[in-house]
Amino acid sequence: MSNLGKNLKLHHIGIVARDEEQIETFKEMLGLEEEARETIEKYHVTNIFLKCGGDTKLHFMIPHKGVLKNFNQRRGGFHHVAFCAKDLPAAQQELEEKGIKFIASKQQDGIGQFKFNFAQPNIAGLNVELIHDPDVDWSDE
Amino acid sequence: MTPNDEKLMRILEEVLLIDESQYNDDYGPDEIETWDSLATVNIAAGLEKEFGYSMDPEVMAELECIGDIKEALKGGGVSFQG
Repeated sequence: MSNLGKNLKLHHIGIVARDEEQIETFKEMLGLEEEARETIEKYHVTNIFLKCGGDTKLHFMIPHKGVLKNFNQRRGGFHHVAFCAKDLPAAQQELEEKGIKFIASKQQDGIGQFKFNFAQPNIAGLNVELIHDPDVDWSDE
Repeated sequence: MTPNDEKLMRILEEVLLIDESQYNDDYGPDEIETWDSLATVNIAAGLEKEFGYSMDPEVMAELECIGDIKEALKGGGVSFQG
Protein backbone atom coordinates (compact mmCIF):
# COMPACT_ATOMS: atom_id res chain seq x y z
CA MET A 1 0.00 0.00 0.00
CA SER A 2 1.33 3.40 -0.99
CA ASN A 3 2.13 6.04 1.64
CA LEU A 4 1.51 8.82 -0.85
CA GLY A 5 -1.65 9.97 0.91
CA LYS A 6 0.27 10.77 4.10
CA ASN A 7 2.35 13.23 2.10
CA LEU A 8 -0.66 15.01 0.61
CA LYS A 9 -2.91 17.64 2.17
CA LEU A 10 -6.18 18.83 0.70
CA HIS A 11 -5.23 22.26 -0.62
CA HIS A 12 -8.17 23.58 -2.60
CA ILE A 13 -11.27 22.80 -4.60
CA GLY A 14 -11.23 24.07 -8.18
CA ILE A 15 -14.39 25.56 -9.68
CA VAL A 16 -14.92 26.92 -13.18
CA ALA A 17 -16.85 30.18 -12.90
CA ARG A 18 -19.16 31.54 -15.56
CA ASP A 19 -17.91 35.07 -15.00
CA GLU A 20 -16.51 37.39 -12.35
CA GLU A 21 -19.98 38.45 -11.19
CA GLN A 22 -20.69 34.90 -10.06
CA ILE A 23 -17.55 34.90 -7.90
CA GLU A 24 -18.28 38.33 -6.46
CA THR A 25 -21.79 37.25 -5.45
CA PHE A 26 -20.48 34.04 -3.90
CA LYS A 27 -17.77 35.95 -2.04
CA GLU A 28 -20.14 38.60 -0.73
CA MET A 29 -22.87 36.21 0.35
CA LEU A 30 -20.51 33.95 2.25
CA GLY A 31 -18.16 36.64 3.52
CA LEU A 32 -15.12 35.05 1.91
CA GLU A 33 -11.86 36.85 1.43
CA GLU A 34 -9.92 37.05 -1.82
CA GLU A 35 -6.42 35.82 -1.15
CA ALA A 36 -4.82 35.94 -4.58
CA ARG A 37 -5.58 36.60 -8.23
CA GLU A 38 -3.52 36.04 -11.35
CA THR A 39 -4.03 35.39 -15.04
CA ILE A 40 -2.08 32.62 -16.71
CA GLU A 41 -1.96 33.55 -20.40
CA LYS A 42 -0.71 30.13 -21.51
CA TYR A 43 -3.94 28.53 -20.29
CA HIS A 44 -6.20 31.55 -21.00
CA VAL A 45 -7.51 31.60 -17.45
CA THR A 46 -7.78 34.03 -14.54
CA ASN A 47 -7.36 32.30 -11.19
CA ILE A 48 -8.91 33.70 -8.05
CA PHE A 49 -8.31 32.10 -4.67
CA LEU A 50 -10.80 32.67 -1.84
CA LYS A 51 -10.25 31.68 1.74
CA CYS A 52 -12.51 30.89 4.65
CA GLY A 53 -11.71 29.32 8.01
CA GLY A 54 -9.39 26.33 7.95
CA ASP A 55 -6.61 25.71 5.50
CA THR A 56 -8.56 24.60 2.41
CA LYS A 57 -9.15 27.27 -0.21
CA LEU A 58 -11.54 27.74 -3.10
CA HIS A 59 -9.96 28.21 -6.51
CA PHE A 60 -12.21 29.90 -9.04
CA MET A 61 -11.14 29.84 -12.66
CA ILE A 62 -12.52 32.27 -15.22
CA PRO A 63 -11.64 30.90 -18.66
CA HIS A 64 -11.22 33.48 -21.41
CA LYS A 65 -11.03 30.97 -24.25
CA GLY A 66 -10.05 27.37 -24.91
CA VAL A 67 -11.42 24.06 -23.73
CA LEU A 68 -12.01 25.24 -20.15
CA LYS A 69 -14.57 27.75 -21.40
CA ASN A 70 -16.60 24.82 -22.72
CA PHE A 71 -16.42 22.92 -19.42
CA ASN A 72 -19.75 21.39 -18.43
CA GLN A 73 -21.43 22.76 -21.55
CA ARG A 74 -20.29 26.30 -20.65
CA ARG A 75 -22.13 26.16 -17.34
CA GLY A 76 -19.02 25.88 -15.15
CA GLY A 77 -19.00 24.06 -11.82
CA PHE A 78 -16.79 21.69 -9.85
CA HIS A 79 -13.63 21.04 -11.82
CA HIS A 80 -10.81 19.57 -9.73
CA VAL A 81 -9.45 18.66 -6.35
CA ALA A 82 -5.96 19.88 -5.51
CA PHE A 83 -3.56 18.28 -3.08
CA CYS A 84 -0.51 19.98 -1.67
CA ALA A 85 2.35 17.52 -1.91
CA LYS A 86 5.15 17.47 0.59
CA ASP A 87 7.42 16.71 -2.36
CA LEU A 88 5.67 17.45 -5.65
CA PRO A 89 8.20 15.83 -8.05
CA ALA A 90 8.28 12.69 -5.89
CA ALA A 91 4.48 12.52 -5.77
CA GLN A 92 4.29 12.99 -9.55
CA GLN A 93 6.89 10.27 -10.07
CA GLU A 94 5.00 7.85 -7.84
CA LEU A 95 1.80 8.42 -9.78
CA GLU A 96 3.59 8.16 -13.12
CA GLU A 97 4.90 4.77 -12.01
CA LYS A 98 1.23 3.81 -11.60
CA GLY A 99 0.55 4.89 -15.20
CA ILE A 100 -0.84 8.37 -14.55
CA LYS A 101 0.26 11.03 -17.04
CA PHE A 102 0.57 14.76 -16.37
CA ILE A 103 -0.02 17.80 -18.57
CA ALA A 104 3.63 18.77 -18.16
CA SER A 105 6.74 16.72 -17.55
CA LYS A 106 7.78 19.08 -14.76
CA GLN A 107 5.87 21.24 -12.30
CA GLN A 108 4.60 24.55 -13.69
CA ASP A 109 4.71 28.04 -12.17
CA GLY A 110 1.34 28.94 -10.75
CA ILE A 111 -0.08 31.86 -8.86
CA GLY A 112 2.33 33.45 -6.34
CA GLN A 113 4.80 30.90 -5.06
CA PHE A 114 2.69 27.91 -6.11
CA LYS A 115 3.99 25.21 -8.38
CA PHE A 116 1.46 22.86 -9.95
CA ASN A 117 0.80 20.01 -12.32
CA PHE A 118 -2.40 18.29 -13.44
CA ALA A 119 -3.01 14.61 -13.98
CA GLN A 120 -3.93 14.11 -17.64
CA PRO A 121 -6.68 13.31 -18.25
CA ASN A 122 -7.67 12.50 -14.64
CA ILE A 123 -7.46 9.91 -11.86
CA ALA A 124 -10.41 7.54 -11.68
CA GLY A 125 -12.52 10.08 -13.56
CA LEU A 126 -11.72 13.05 -11.31
CA ASN A 127 -9.44 15.93 -12.23
CA VAL A 128 -6.53 16.03 -9.80
CA GLU A 129 -3.97 18.78 -9.34
CA LEU A 130 -0.77 18.47 -7.36
CA ILE A 131 0.51 21.65 -5.74
CA HIS A 132 3.66 22.84 -4.06
CA ASP A 133 2.79 25.63 -1.63
CA PRO A 134 5.67 26.90 0.51
CA ASP A 135 3.20 28.30 3.06
CA VAL A 136 1.81 24.90 3.99
CA ASP A 137 3.05 23.75 7.37
CA TRP A 138 4.25 20.15 7.50
CA SER A 139 5.54 20.32 11.08
CA ASP A 140 2.56 18.35 12.41
CA GLU A 141 3.68 15.26 10.49
CA MET B 1 -9.18 16.62 -49.28
CA THR B 2 -6.43 14.08 -48.59
CA PRO B 3 -7.16 10.61 -47.15
CA ASN B 4 -5.57 11.67 -43.85
CA ASP B 5 -7.77 14.78 -43.78
CA GLU B 6 -10.78 12.53 -44.22
CA LYS B 7 -9.62 10.26 -41.39
CA LEU B 8 -9.07 13.23 -39.09
CA MET B 9 -12.40 14.75 -40.04
CA ARG B 10 -14.18 11.50 -39.21
CA ILE B 11 -12.58 11.48 -35.73
CA LEU B 12 -13.60 15.09 -35.11
CA GLU B 13 -17.10 14.55 -36.46
CA GLU B 14 -17.56 11.65 -34.08
CA VAL B 15 -16.04 13.28 -30.98
CA LEU B 16 -17.10 16.90 -31.46
CA LEU B 17 -20.36 16.23 -33.31
CA ILE B 18 -19.38 18.68 -36.04
CA ASP B 19 -20.07 18.53 -39.76
CA GLU B 20 -17.74 19.08 -42.70
CA SER B 21 -18.41 22.83 -42.77
CA GLN B 22 -16.78 23.15 -39.35
CA TYR B 23 -13.69 21.18 -40.34
CA ASN B 24 -11.58 24.33 -40.54
CA ASP B 25 -7.96 24.68 -39.43
CA ASP B 26 -8.78 27.90 -37.56
CA TYR B 27 -11.69 26.43 -35.61
CA GLY B 28 -11.13 25.60 -31.94
CA PRO B 29 -13.07 25.47 -28.67
CA ASP B 30 -14.34 29.03 -29.15
CA GLU B 31 -16.13 28.02 -32.35
CA ILE B 32 -16.98 24.43 -31.35
CA GLU B 33 -18.83 24.34 -28.02
CA THR B 34 -18.51 20.57 -27.68
CA TRP B 35 -14.70 20.81 -27.59
CA ASP B 36 -13.91 20.54 -23.88
CA SER B 37 -11.02 18.83 -22.09
CA LEU B 38 -12.70 15.41 -22.21
CA ALA B 39 -13.21 15.82 -25.96
CA THR B 40 -9.49 16.57 -26.30
CA VAL B 41 -8.70 13.29 -24.58
CA ASN B 42 -11.13 11.45 -26.86
CA ILE B 43 -9.59 13.10 -29.93
CA ALA B 44 -6.14 11.97 -28.77
CA ALA B 45 -7.45 8.43 -28.35
CA GLY B 46 -8.85 8.57 -31.89
CA LEU B 47 -5.53 9.80 -33.28
CA GLU B 48 -3.72 6.93 -31.62
CA LYS B 49 -6.18 4.40 -33.02
CA GLU B 50 -6.37 5.80 -36.57
CA PHE B 51 -2.86 7.17 -37.09
CA GLY B 52 -0.82 5.27 -34.49
CA TYR B 53 0.18 8.67 -33.12
CA SER B 54 0.46 9.04 -29.36
CA MET B 55 -0.07 12.66 -28.40
CA ASP B 56 2.09 14.03 -25.63
CA PRO B 57 -0.01 15.38 -22.71
CA GLU B 58 1.78 18.74 -22.97
CA VAL B 59 0.78 19.05 -26.63
CA MET B 60 -2.76 17.97 -25.73
CA ALA B 61 -3.00 20.73 -23.11
CA GLU B 62 -1.99 23.40 -25.61
CA LEU B 63 -4.22 22.51 -28.58
CA GLU B 64 -6.14 25.59 -29.66
CA CYS B 65 -7.54 24.69 -33.06
CA ILE B 66 -7.89 21.93 -35.64
CA GLY B 67 -4.77 23.25 -37.35
CA ASP B 68 -2.79 22.52 -34.16
CA ILE B 69 -3.93 18.89 -34.34
CA LYS B 70 -2.69 18.67 -37.91
CA GLU B 71 0.64 20.25 -36.96
CA ALA B 72 1.05 17.73 -34.14
CA LEU B 73 0.28 14.88 -36.54
CA LYS B 74 2.74 16.27 -39.10
CA GLY B 75 5.35 16.31 -36.33
CA GLY B 76 4.57 12.63 -35.87
CA GLY B 77 5.15 11.92 -39.58
CA VAL B 78 1.54 12.07 -40.82
CA SER B 79 1.25 13.88 -44.16
CA PHE B 80 -1.62 16.14 -45.21
CA GLN B 81 -0.21 16.83 -48.67
CA GLY B 82 -2.36 15.89 -51.64
